Amino acid sequence: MINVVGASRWYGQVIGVNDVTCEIGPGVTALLGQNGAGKSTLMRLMTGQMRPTTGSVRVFGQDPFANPAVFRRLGFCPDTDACPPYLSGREFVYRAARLSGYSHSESISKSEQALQTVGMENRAHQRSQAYSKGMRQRINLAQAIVHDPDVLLLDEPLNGLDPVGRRQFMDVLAKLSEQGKSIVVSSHVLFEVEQMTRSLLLLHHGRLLATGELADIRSLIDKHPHRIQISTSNPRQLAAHVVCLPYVVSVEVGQTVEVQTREPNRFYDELPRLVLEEGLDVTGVVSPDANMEAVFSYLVAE
Amino acid sequence: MIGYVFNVSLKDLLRPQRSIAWLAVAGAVFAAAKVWSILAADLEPADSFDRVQQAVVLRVVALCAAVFSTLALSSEVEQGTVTFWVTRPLSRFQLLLGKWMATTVASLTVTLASYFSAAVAVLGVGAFTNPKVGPDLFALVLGVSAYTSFFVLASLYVKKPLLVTLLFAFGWETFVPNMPGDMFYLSILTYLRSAGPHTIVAGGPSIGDVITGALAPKTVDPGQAVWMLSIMSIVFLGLAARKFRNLDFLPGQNSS
Repeated sequence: MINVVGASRWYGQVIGVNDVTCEIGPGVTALLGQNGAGKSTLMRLMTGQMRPTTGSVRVFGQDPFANPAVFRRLGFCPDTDACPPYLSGREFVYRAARLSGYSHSESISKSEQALQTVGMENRAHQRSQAYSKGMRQRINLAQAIVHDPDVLLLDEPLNGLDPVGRRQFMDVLAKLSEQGKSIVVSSHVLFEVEQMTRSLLLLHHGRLLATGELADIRSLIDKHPHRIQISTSNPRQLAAHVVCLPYVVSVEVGQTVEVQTREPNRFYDELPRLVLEEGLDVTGVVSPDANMEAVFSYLVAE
Repeated sequence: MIGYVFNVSLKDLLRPQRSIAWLAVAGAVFAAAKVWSILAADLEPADSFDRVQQAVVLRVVALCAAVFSTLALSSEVEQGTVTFWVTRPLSRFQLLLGKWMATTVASLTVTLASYFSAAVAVLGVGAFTNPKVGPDLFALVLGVSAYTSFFVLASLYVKKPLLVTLLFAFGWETFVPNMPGDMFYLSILTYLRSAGPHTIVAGGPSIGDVITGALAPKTVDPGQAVWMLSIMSIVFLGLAARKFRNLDFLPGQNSS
């Protein structure tokens, strides 16, 4: 749905994104990076608010820049409050519907539907200046989905939300994802994004460091063996067995057994067999390296 | 779609809080005109109105166009709300045209309120039967349209558009018509004055004469002025549409 090929964008002497190539399909994709990594630039390129200096961006096979045909199928939730403070949430979402080409009566029903989806139907009559940050974000999302777009781009939607608001917002996104929408979420808060998707684009200093499924990316980082922590009542016994495996790099014994391996998939296949054959008492297996924070740290440190 | 953009933009520009401020402007024009007519009691009311029109009402045209043009476009860019407009399925030309129409109508509304305030203050109830009303309104429509087009264009190019457009409205437009030679051709005010039925009354080198452009009271043919104002409206709007069509909205342009 979205194809970016060798796209770079310069702001005078400063580079926003540098030779980025990626493809975004259905499902939820996270656009990750620290502040200033180029996330907003890439978002604006994909939403046709600006053009790349070199390279190309295509959405549904078309150049998105100032292209109404693309905007009919694309919704954008910006990182700023799009709703003027003197408008109510309902009026704002209605406006978005009208500007998407719907008639007055269609716009009323479409905006009510969008407000229901984001859970704001009972509070949408208030002026937006009275809203909390979370409510404003949900209104922002409602205007982005009011025309039922196929692709939804959300720029830092979780910024400034309290834990409850964040949870509610993520639930709404999960609902939209179930409806078959392609959703791109930019964020610099890794653990939040991790709860929404395992598919990511990782930007750093304007460059695309990695793209794909979290597990695939993690497995590509050969320099850093994958850590697996195994909880057991007899750590020494377990350590004695796993240390013999050829793809295990090191074993550390403490309250748990921490194994470092270059082939985590083979290890995960082998572990149940060991447990059954040797009668080991394993109560838990976790991998601290499988989360995004670890992947991000490894890639950025490269 | 243009109609809807026009409708909501006009509502935003003339929402109650702002309208109160503009009513105050019309009230101030009334007060200024009343004071003028008292101070210049030796002048015929029609002559007094000529000077009030030149010194005050035509300045309100530029003031309104400058402020509304800035509010309609560049303040949306600064606040980041322009994203809402430019990511909707309507062409940027439709968006700009709708905003331009709203700006023109809002400016015209305040201008007409100021015009009739001044006319009533100087001419009394006869203001509405004054034969100059029709030609005045025609000239004001053209003037508002030309100023709006120019300021919309300017607001797409400069970083502090309100400051720049106000400097143009009250600096350039004050001094250029008074300059010797053919410089007066470079002022929108010259054509606006010439298109209306009022004469510029030449006087001594006072502040009032500088403001009314009476130091070098040059005008152009009314027909030529009407054409020039119309052409300026179309050309500046066309250039603005071209610029807006290709404008990149960069992150960090807004205040977030």
